[in-house]
Amino acid sequence: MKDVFEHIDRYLDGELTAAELERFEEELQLNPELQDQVKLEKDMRALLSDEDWILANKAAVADSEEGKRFKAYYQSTEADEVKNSIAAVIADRKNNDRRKFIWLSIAASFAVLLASTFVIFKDGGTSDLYAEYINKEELPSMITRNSGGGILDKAQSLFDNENYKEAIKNFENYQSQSEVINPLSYIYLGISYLEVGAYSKAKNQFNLLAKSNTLQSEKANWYLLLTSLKQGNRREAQQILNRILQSESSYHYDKALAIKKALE
Amino acid sequence: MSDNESLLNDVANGDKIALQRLYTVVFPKIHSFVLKNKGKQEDAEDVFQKALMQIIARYKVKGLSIESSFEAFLFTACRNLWRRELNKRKKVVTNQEVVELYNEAEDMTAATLEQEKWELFQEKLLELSENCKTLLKLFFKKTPYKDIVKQLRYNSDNVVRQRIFNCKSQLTKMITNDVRFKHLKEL
Repeated sequence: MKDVFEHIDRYLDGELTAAELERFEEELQLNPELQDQVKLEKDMRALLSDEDWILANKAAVADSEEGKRFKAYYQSTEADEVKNSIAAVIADRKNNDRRKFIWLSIAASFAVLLASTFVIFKDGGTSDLYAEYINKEELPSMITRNSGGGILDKAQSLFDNENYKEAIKNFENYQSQSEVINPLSYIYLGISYLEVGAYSKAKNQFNLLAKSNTLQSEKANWYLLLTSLKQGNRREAQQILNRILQSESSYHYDKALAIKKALE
Repeated sequence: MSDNESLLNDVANGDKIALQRLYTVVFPKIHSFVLKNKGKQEDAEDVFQKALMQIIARYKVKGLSIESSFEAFLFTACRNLWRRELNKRKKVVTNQEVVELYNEAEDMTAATLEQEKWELFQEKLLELSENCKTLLKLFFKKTPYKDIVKQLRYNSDNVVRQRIFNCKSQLTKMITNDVRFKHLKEL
C-alpha cells in the first residue's frame, strides 16, 4: 500500500523514471482502483492548495443525483427571483457608494456628452442611434450541440453574412418546427426583421423574448428600444428608456443612459 | 430556529434587509480579495451573487446548516468561487484542456458540488494532528521538501517524505470513509 502511495506521489511530482512511468501508466489503464486513488490524490492536491482548483467532470455532474436536484433549483423561477433580489441589492448599494462621486464628475461628463452628441448626431435622426448601438458582435453564438442544430447553424451563418432575407426564412422554419425554442433565436430573428424594415414582426419577436422567462429575457427592452430608434419613434423610445433606466442592473443600462442624453 | 438558520431562511426568500446587511458586512472583504487577485469590481459582484445562490441552493435542496459564522462561510464560498474562476480562465488561455461548455445552471451545479468536495477535504484535514496539519499544509502549498526540513527542523528529506506519506494516508482514509465521499468521488 505504502508503495502505491509513494508511486502515485512520484508520478504526480513527475519523478518517475521513463521505465517506471511506462509501467505505471500501463497499470493505471487497467486498474480502476488505482485510477480512483490517483484522482483523489490529484483532487486533494488541487483543492487543498491555495491556488488550484479541480473542475468537476461534466458527465459526472449530470449523472449525480444531488447534481440533478441542484440544477433543478438553479433553473427554477424561485431561484431567478432570489437572484434578481441579490442583483438589485448590489446595484442599489453600488449606487449609494457612487452617489458621492457623481456631483464631482457630472459637470465634466455633461460637457463631453454635449460635445460628442453634437458631432455625432447633428444631422441624423434616431436611426443613426440604432446603427451606432446595434452591436451584432455581442450576440452569443447559437451554434452548440443543442436540438435543432442544423437549421439554426445555417440561419446564424446567413445572419452573420448579412443575408437577412434568407436568415429570416430559416429562423421562421426553426421556430415553427421546434418545441423548445432557443431564446437567442428571438433576438436573431428580431434583428433580421429590423434590417429588412419589418418592424411589427421584430417587436413581436422581442416581446416573445420578454416572455421567455430565460436569462435572455432581460434583454428584451434593449432590443425594443433599438426597434423604436430604427423606426424613428421617439416617444416610444423615451417610454422604453424610462423602463430600462428604472434599475441600474438593467441590460445595457449605461448605453441606455447615453441614448437618453443623446435624444434630449 | 438558530440565528444562522433564520438568516438562511430570510436570504433564501430574497429578504432585502438581510441581503443588504450581508452585502455591507461581507462584500468589502470579497471586493478587496478579488481585486488583489487579478479581478475587477464586476467579478467581485458576480462572485458574491453566485456564492450566495450556492448557499441558498444548498439550504433549499439539502437543508444546509452553518455551524460557523454565516459571514465567514459566505466569504469562504466566494474565495473558492473566485479561485475556481481564475483556474477556468487559465485553462481557456493556455488551452490545457478542452473546457466544456456549460450553461449557467450546469456551471453553478458543478461549482456547488466542487465546493462540497472542498469542504469535505478541508474538514478532514483539520481533524488531523497538529503536526500532520502543518506538514500537509506546506506540502499542498508545494513547498519543496528541503524547505520543509529546514522550517520544521527535521533531519532529512526522507524523514519529511515519510511523515507526509503517513499523514496523507490518514487523510485519504478519513475522506474515503466519509459517507459524503461516495457522492462526490466521481466528480
